[in-house]
Amino acid sequence: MTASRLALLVALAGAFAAPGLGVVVADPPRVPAPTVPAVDITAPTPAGDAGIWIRAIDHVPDNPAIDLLGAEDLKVSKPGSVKDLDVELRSLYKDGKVVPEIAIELSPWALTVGRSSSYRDYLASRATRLLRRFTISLATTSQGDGDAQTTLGAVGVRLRLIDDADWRLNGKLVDCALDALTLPAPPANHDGDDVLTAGPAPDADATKAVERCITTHAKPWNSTQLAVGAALSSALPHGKLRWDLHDLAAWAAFAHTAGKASGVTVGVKYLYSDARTIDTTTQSARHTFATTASFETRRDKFGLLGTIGVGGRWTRADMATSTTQAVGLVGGEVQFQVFPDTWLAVRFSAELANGGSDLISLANLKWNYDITPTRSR
Amino acid sequence: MSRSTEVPNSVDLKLRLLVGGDLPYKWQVYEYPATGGPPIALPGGAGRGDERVAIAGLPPQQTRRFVWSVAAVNLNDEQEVDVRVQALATDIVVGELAATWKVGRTTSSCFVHLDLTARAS
Repeated sequence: MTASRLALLVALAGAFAAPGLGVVVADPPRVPAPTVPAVDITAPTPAGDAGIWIRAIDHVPDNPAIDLLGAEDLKVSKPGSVKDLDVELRSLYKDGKVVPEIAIELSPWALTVGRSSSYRDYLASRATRLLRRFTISLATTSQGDGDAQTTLGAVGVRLRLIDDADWRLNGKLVDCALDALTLPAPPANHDGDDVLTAGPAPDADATKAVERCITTHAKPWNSTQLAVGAALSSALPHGKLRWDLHDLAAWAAFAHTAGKASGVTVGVKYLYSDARTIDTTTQSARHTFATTASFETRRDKFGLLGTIGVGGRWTRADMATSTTQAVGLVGGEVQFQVFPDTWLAVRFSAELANGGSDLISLANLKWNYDITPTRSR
Repeated sequence: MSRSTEVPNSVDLKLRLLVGGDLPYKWQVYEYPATGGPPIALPGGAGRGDERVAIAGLPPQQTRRFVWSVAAVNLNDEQEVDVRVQALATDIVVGELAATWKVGRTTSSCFVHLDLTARAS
């Protein structure tokens, strides 16, 4: 990215950054797994509880615990063995305190019975497939300093009930990859006593050949998927273990192909949030529920995302007082390629609450460099 | 861990390799000649998944040494999986060795050794 290009993009962004119109330089449309985008009515407002803040990306998150804590920058550790998991868990709790800024994602199946489960079992058994697609996530983060320091800990679960993008079920991809592999010649002599010895590192040509198989045969981003997830968090003052319910969230989303380059997504989300676990003077606990429908299309040079959503929020101040608010909203985003490695996105959203009409805009500016090109569709 | 196991003598056997982790894989089995020298690929001793390779029964106390060259596809993160090699007589496991294999992302390979020794009686 040259300085002149940067300057041009900054100027473009400034020109579009008017009230009611957000400008984002974003990633190009990619192939996430799974992407179920939706407007999120339940996301917290930037300044507490005054209004509804709209995020144009939400789905059943890969790591529900991280999503609930809003700690997307955490590096996620994915232990591949029980021994690795043991090491990770030991790092999570030290000197009688929960350590902040840690994220772990694990598949109980892969760490236990799935270690000896065969590919044939996977193809034959739906139960095996579901067990492998079930993951548990753990995350911790920190809030405040000194005496006010609180560690937030969250645990989440996620299950993909339907996944047409599952590579193991993609016979063409698997056959292509196996054909591309070259079996190494065995050791010339029979020295040693180990039953299993590691083979040579895969050569670059074989790896490229497998990657070509993925590019050619992988199911597109808009494959049909159904996922559910849930997470809960607890506030732990100074990292001391105790039980309370700070946040609780549940997601469900269904995505379906709509033509070669488009997809439709329907999602629901429930969020219970109680900031009083950290600050007793803060607002009341809040329940929110939202359901959304999105249409997205991704082309080589541009992408479109449109979302409509309805939801409600219920707040109970005390045993006698509660308030209810209904919300409807509509949002849209256009992404287009301005340089081979840079995309520009213009986003708008509008909200209707409690019969009144408030137009709320979301404006932000985000730069991305060295963007991975969109995969073939 | 020893790479040796005992099997009944003079019984026709089938050899099988099992790789866990729900991973697709392919293999080629070789035998080390008793007289020394590099391993020789067994005829019909290649395949995908848990297919079997037939071998003739061994005379008492004779040893045959086999090695599987294995490559697996893994498009998820690195994971540790169980690997087993078995000798079967009429579908009953009469000898087995097990090991663990750390399978990296995209593709990995390994060698699995099995020394079969026929019992004296």
